[in-house]
Amino acid sequence: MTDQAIINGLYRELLFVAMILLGILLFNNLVLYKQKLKDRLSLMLLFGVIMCSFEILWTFCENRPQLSALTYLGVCGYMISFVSFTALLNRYILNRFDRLPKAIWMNVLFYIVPLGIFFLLCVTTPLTHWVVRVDETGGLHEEILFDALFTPLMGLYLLTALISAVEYAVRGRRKNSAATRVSYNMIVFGVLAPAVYVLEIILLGADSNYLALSLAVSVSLVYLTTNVSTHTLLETRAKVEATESDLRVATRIQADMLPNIYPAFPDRPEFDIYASMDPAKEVGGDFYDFFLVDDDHLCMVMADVSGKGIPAALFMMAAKIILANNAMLGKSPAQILTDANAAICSNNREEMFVTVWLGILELSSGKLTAANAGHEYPVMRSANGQFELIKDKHGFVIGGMDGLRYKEYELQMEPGSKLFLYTDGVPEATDASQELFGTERMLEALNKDTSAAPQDILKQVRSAVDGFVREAEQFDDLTMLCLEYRGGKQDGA
Amino acid sequence: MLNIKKTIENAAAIFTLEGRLDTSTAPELDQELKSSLNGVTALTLDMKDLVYISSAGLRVLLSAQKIMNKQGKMTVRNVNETVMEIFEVTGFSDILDIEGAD
Repeated sequence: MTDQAIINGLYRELLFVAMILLGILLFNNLVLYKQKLKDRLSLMLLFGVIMCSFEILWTFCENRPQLSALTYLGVCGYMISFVSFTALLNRYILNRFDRLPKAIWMNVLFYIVPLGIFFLLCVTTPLTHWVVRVDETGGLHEEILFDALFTPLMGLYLLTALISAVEYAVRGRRKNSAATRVSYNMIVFGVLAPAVYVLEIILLGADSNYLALSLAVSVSLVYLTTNVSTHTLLETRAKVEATESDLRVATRIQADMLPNIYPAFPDRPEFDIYASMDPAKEVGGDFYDFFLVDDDHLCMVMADVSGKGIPAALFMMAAKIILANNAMLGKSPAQILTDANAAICSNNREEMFVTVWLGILELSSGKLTAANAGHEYPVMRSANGQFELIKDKHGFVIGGMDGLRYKEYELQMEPGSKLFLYTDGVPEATDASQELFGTERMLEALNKDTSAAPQDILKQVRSAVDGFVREAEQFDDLTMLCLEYRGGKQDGA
Repeated sequence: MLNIKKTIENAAAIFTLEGRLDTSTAPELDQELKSSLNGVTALTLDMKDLVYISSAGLRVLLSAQKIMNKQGKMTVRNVNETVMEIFEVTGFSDILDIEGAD
């Protein structure tokens, strides 16, 4: 085996590795990064793979007279895919700098006509021998049009891309960081490709008359693709990080929207109240609220918006404000829900809804007036009794249907009575075997120590839920409120 | 997990639901319903093997009910006890046409 044959073999092996590498990058682009094949970068990689395989073919068949037909096939395929590749690279780069010719005739003149003519000449070269010729011994010779058409065409595409990149790097700096990066990439590409080619000639002693460029181009293309992908990845990560930090702030804003300073009413001996919300995600759709409508009336709200996460949280904010505004006008619970439903339905294209229990306690008498719009049953403990579900009359959820009217009912709270409100996150907490916590277990937890203060009652329920679900991941927000009525002022409490 | 089986004959569609209809599975049903309700005048949701429904699932039922209010009739059947309780608590039992319920 001659030295030249060994070198040729080595070169083909390198080409083969390059081809595999490009194939992997193409696969990554399509499968991992979910790019379309139409994407210019993917197309370039595809042409790169084709180019390498054709070059492997012709370098293998060359100098084997019996394979001259395959030599033609290989070299023509190589030239066509190479020029297509340079045209693609050219358009990819120019597009990044908004330099693609817009007029149709320009595109025809610069891309379609030259490429068309060149493809035609390549296909016919086995007959005409105008571009390349394979002689009787199988040797490959570059003919007149190779130097007059192939080299200039490829040079034109690569050089215009390179020049526009250099121009952008020099003049357009800082205008658009992505475009600047692409321009640097192209310049590196423009340096890397010839450098690898020169190395090929020096190290491998490859015949410099051959335009065996696949390897040089492949190396540069690997660089380009990796760089572009890495930056896309970094940009995505930066966006995700920004979203995450937004979400952290949103969590705090949401938590601060709910009354959360305890004791909430230190100067009101008539009652004690405590509530908590633990969203399953960063932000949740559950909410509670309590506030004094006037000196003698305490309004309490427990609500659960359909769905979770940011959409539910946004809807929750609106619902909370609408309910509170209506309540502050001194309306009755049924009227508050009726008006809030009308307000929410008037503008609810996403068809979200919220279940609401709303009650107003007259502090002097202990009379509780409440209305329920599709929310869980409230739980009440009479002065010295047990916590029990109050199977109240349910209306439909708020925001579900326009024009609904809600009904209200009255309950009497004695000094020592407690009211417990919650969202479905409590009874529907699920353990590893998909069993629900249920209202039975909830009542059991509440009745463990009925005399406990509201804050401790919530702790009791929370620890019962935690003990039940153990390691199972929870998907629902967990929100609870407990009110202890101690009696009107005149009772001397 | 939610399995949706649908049979459409002429203008009558039957969706059989099996599993849990919650936040993660509701969009799937929503998509299925919206893409096949065109021209349907009778929609039946069979919930024989539906073990759980969350508020996200209720939302899908509500929007299907609203669509069917305009073009025909929606019936829900074979509702189990757990799901029925959720329908009652949320007031959905008032707006849904539940077969076999009192």
